[in-house]
Amino acid sequence: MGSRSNRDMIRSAILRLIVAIVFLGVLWWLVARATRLPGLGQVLDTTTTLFVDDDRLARSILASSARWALGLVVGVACGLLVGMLCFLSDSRSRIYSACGLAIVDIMAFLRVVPIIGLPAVVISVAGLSESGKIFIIAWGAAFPVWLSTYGSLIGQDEEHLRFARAAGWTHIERLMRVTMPSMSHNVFVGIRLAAGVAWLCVVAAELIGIVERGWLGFGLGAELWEAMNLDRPAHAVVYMACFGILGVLTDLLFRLLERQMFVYAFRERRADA
Amino acid sequence: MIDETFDEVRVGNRLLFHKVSLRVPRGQVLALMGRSGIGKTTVLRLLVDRLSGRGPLGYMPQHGGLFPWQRVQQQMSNARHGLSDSAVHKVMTGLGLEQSLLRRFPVELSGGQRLRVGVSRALLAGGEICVLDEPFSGLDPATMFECASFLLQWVIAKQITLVFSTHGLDDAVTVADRIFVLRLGDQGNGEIFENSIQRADRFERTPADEQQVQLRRAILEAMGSVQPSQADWLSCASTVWRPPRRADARWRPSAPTSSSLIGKGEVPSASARPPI
Repeated sequence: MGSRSNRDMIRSAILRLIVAIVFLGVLWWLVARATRLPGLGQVLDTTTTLFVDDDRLARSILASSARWALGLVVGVACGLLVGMLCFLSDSRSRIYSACGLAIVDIMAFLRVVPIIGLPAVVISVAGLSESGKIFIIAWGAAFPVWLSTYGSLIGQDEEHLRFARAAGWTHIERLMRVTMPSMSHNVFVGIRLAAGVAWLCVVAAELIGIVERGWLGFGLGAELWEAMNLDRPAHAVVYMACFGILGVLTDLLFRLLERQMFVYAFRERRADA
Repeated sequence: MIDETFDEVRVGNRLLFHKVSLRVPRGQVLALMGRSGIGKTTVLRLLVDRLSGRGPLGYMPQHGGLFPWQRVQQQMSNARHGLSDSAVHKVMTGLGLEQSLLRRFPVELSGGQRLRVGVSRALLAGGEICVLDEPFSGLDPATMFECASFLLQWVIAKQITLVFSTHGLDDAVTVADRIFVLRLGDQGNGEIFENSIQRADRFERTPADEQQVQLRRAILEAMGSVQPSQADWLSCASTVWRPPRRADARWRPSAPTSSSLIGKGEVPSASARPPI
């Protein structure tokens, strides 16, 4: 029964993929006929050149992925920390509460600052350094995590905590056995969103200085900007496709992890649950 | 025992009661009643907050309050350290829960099952005091009857002090020794009714029994806004079936076989309905 439904799932996934590729291909062909968008053949040629004749694309993928991963880690850590700090808003002390709410206001303001414009400011602070790029990626990644952390802390079920206090659990026990598990799924979803946002921020971050570091390439974003400046649309399409594929693959990874880690959230619900 | 007084009971800024005193001697059962939205849950929460930290306390929040991320097995082990499987088995059986439910997550349980898992968890806490917020809401009459009789047996066996809130007259008059009716704007203690029916007799007497009718009527009238004629009707209509009158079905606290109380093939008939 299980293997059969698995086979069905794989079959339907393959069918979906084929339909999606055909649909995209037709759409592309139509647009390429009407505009200067390079045709499929030209793009495939460019891909071969970039991948096979040169390791430049591979090295750029590596560079961008490394920045993405590092930025995501830093962003998630900051988002978690700030989210927890914001929870001071629930404190009984007026001063702590005011501090918490002030941080919430600051975050609400910073959240709507356009990330695409950040490089202009970051260059003046961090110069053309690698840390500036990581900062921009982390910036973008921090907000979804901040929101999910703060949201799940203030939305915590009071009755769960009351039960824990009645059972005589200590502060640490309540934190480990109630608060953390109750917020972990929400926070994970926040991290998954952040992973997507971080890819967007990679493009913005790599506006800053085109520098090669050791074996790492320029980065897909840098290549993309260069392709735009040098008017190489086929190259641009290849880099964009790389971003798309990397984004889908990393999201798939997070989805698989989510299913493994939060079994209870994927159980078939009773009608009244 | 419980002896707690709460002044100025509020929800947010809204004052519900000037003063509520809850006094329950050890081993006794108090039912908290009152019309929907009156503040039963609020009072119970205050009680739990007050009693927390004074040793183990069994608590079931409304709707069970189970942790969504844990299987029933783990929920049970939250009750206290070193809980034996046989204890869990005993309580679950008593409350009509199958052992196969232990592997399930709360989302995979029905509302009534979630409630009873919550009750099990509270009973297994091992404390002297147990607080249950609507342990019987939404259960069918047969299951309710089974659970109510098990709960009373547990109270007698473990000598625990139990406070529970309820909307049902049936469970109040069968389980509780005293019924506390909350009414809005109470200056003092609300109204308290002693259940003069002996514990051993409670599951024997039908709702048509004169003593039962009196108690049910009094509770309903105390809730307020009930016309005497309505009270007549309501006090009888909440139960239409009657436990079988068989010699071997007699309820004994020391020999708990709660399921034997549920009649085999006994169909509620019009004649079981008390005269209105």
